[in-house]
Amino acid sequence: LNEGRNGPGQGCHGRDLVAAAQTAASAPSKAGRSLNMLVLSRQRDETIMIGDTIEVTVVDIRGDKVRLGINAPKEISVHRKEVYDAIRRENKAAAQVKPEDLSGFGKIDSKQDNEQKK
Amino acid sequence: MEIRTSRFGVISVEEDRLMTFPRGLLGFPGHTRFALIQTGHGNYFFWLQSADDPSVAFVVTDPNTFFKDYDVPLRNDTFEDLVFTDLKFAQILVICNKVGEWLTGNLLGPIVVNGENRMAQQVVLTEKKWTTRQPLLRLASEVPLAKSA
Repeated sequence: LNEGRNGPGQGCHGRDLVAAAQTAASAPSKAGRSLNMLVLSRQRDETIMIGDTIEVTVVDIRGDKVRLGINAPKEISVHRKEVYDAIRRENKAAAQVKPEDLSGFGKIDSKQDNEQKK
Repeated sequence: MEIRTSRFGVISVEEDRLMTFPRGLLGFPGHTRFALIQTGHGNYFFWLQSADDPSVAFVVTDPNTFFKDYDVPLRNDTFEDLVFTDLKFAQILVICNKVGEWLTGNLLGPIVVNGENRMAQQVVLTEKKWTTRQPLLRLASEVPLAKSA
């Protein structure tokens, strides 16, 4: 089993750790991967536990695509991160809208307005 | 209570008319109390004004006005988080954004409201049928375009 944590805190020699940390910091970082990320190797049908209640199972591996099965309590919401990020970004952007941005409302070419005019 | 807003000045809202977002909105975790404000912009759009931050407000609308086939599957945890007694109280709103000339709606992350207790939550749809920038309306452009025949 090939597993390890990139960064301080794991049982390695201090000097190696520092070197590893520097390498990781200077290397182009892969999307979303942080220095302290726990990296585990798993084979198909193997599972990891997160806490006592969350199970993540590798269901299938094909090329560069991994299918994960997730068992979690219903109060834990599970989302693809890019979707979650997209919605957060969109909320931030939408909070910048000002009433004057919508000043075209009187002129909006909407079906409803047209119906009202008729 | 009085709510200070950067867009509408000071507005007065009955406390029991406030909506509560126990989990906040994605990107705005601390904002749990909002007022739904009707403005002069017809009956289709409202402002969701934060009672915790004068500058935070969103244009919201009922997505079914624009997409008849849009619906939000309610998960059990949403049902419990918002303390629903009956699904008939469920209302859906989506946050609108202005993208170029378009008013868009975030149909991938709708807001579920329990009209009975005014608790609300933004949920994330699992199916990718809808986007965060679903075009709703084309706003009239500043410069009138020449009309084609």
